[in-house]
This record gives sequence, C-alpha cells and structure tokens, in this order.
Amino acid sequence: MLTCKQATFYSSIRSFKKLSFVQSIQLKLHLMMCKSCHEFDHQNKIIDQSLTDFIKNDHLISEESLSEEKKSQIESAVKQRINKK
Amino acid sequence: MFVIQPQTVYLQPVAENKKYVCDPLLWVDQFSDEFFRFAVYRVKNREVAEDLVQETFLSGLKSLNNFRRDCPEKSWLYNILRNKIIDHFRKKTNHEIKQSSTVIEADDDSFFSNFFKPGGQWNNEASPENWNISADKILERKEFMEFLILCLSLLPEMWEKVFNLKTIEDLPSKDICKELNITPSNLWTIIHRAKLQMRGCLEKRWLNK
Repeated sequence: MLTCKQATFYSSIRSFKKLSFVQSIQLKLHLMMCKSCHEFDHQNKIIDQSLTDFIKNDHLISEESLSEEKKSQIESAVKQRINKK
Repeated sequence: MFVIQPQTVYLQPVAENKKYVCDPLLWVDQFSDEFFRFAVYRVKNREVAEDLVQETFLSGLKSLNNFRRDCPEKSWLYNILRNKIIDHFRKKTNHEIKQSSTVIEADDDSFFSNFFKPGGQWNNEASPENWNISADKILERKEFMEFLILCLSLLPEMWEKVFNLKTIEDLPSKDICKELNITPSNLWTIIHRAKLQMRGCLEKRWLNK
C-alpha cells in the first residue's frame, strides 16, 4: 500500500513519465481509498492543463504590445541591415 | 547540445507549388506585437522580450537565404524566435545552476515534513481541500490563471525552469535533464515538490482568499 507521500509522487510525475504497470495500479488503488490524494490528483490535472492552455493561447489574446519607441528602433535596425546588403 | 523539436503548431501544411513571399520591410508592422506577446509570457521580462523580437528579425535578415518559401515567413520567423527563447533559458540556467544546487538534493526531510507526517500520511493542515471545480470550467476563470502564474513565479528558479521547459517548450524529460544538468531522479523530485508547493499556494491564495 502506498503512503500519501508516494502516491502524490506518482501523481505528480505522471504527466512527465509513463508509470509502470504496477505503479499505476498502486496509484489507482490509493486514489480510490484516499480522499485527499484523490483531490490532489484532480487538482494536479487542473494545474497542468491550465498552464498548457495559458501558454498556448494567452499570447494571442493579450492586449500587451511593444512600445512605439522600441518598434521604431527595431524598424530602423532592420532597415539599416537591409541597406547594408 | 540538444536538438530543438520540430515545431508543428506554427507550420501549416504546404499547398502544391505554393511559394511564399517574404518582405522584411513589413515584419515589424505585421509581426512585432504578436511576437512580443509570445516572448514576454515566456521570459517574463519586457526588455528581454523586446530584445528577442529585434534579434529574431535581424537573424531572419541574416539568414534570408535559408528561407525556402515553402512555408509562410511568419512560421519561419516564429521558429527563429523560439530558438532565441530557448537560448535565453539556457544561458540563464547555466548561470544560475550552481547557486540552486541545494534545491535539488535527492531528499529533504524538512521540505516534506511541511506536507506529510513521518509515516507518509498528509498533515491535517496541508491536506488538499475540495476545490469544487472541473478542469474545463476553470479555464474560464481569469482570476484562477492570475493566481496560477503568481504561484508559479513563487517557486524556486530551478523548479520553475522545469515547468517552463516542460510546458512551454514541451521538451522530453531526457532533454530537460540534459539541459539542466540533473539526473532523472532529481527531475522527479523537483516535479513532486513543485506540484505540492503550487497546489498549496493556490489553495492558500486563491481558494481561501
């Protein structure tokens, strides 16, 4: 029988590494019987999924933009480089 | 050196005979804001992100000959930007890795005793509460995201880096180990601790605020 410490370990690394057959059975059993670890596992998934979605989508909807000053600075750097050619 | 995985997200399928054009004079107008946002969320620093965008365009100009016109210039530039961002993380990592070596010692009883009793069961005060929320609904909650990013930023550098390389660059675990110069068992321990800490942080700051 896994302890909660071991169960949270398996639950945490699951999205990085495939657990062995025995490990995943042990984890399943523990999660069925332990309410706290069941919550932990569920919240873990929420955290992983939210982070992934955040990274994939957020830069497309955000309002942030480059300052005009920096933009014209980049623009002149680009032009300068083109003219050199 | 690790090899950057081919990025599939931004590369669209190529139509037969379709050739893409490339006009560097329009780059800043067309792409700079989007590239900036892409970079700033990853490196979490406006100035660094601005510089990365500039470097991307300049590198693009330098290697204009490599642009094979079989994909839109935007995808091609995105790949350059991604490589710049990975380079940035790599430089930062090498610089900091010596100082953070204490965080990756294999087992640290005092850390885990915040969460677990000596027998391995949860401490009463650290045991997870029911958040009463489902994985898809939570994404609508902008507030949750803000706390998530806050809690991520409160992690020790090394742990945050693992998350970055995994969730942002989607690197396989063996490449993360190579990149950060740690063993797989170090990596698993870091992930375990980071998850415990993140979850506790969210519960404390977001749920019980």
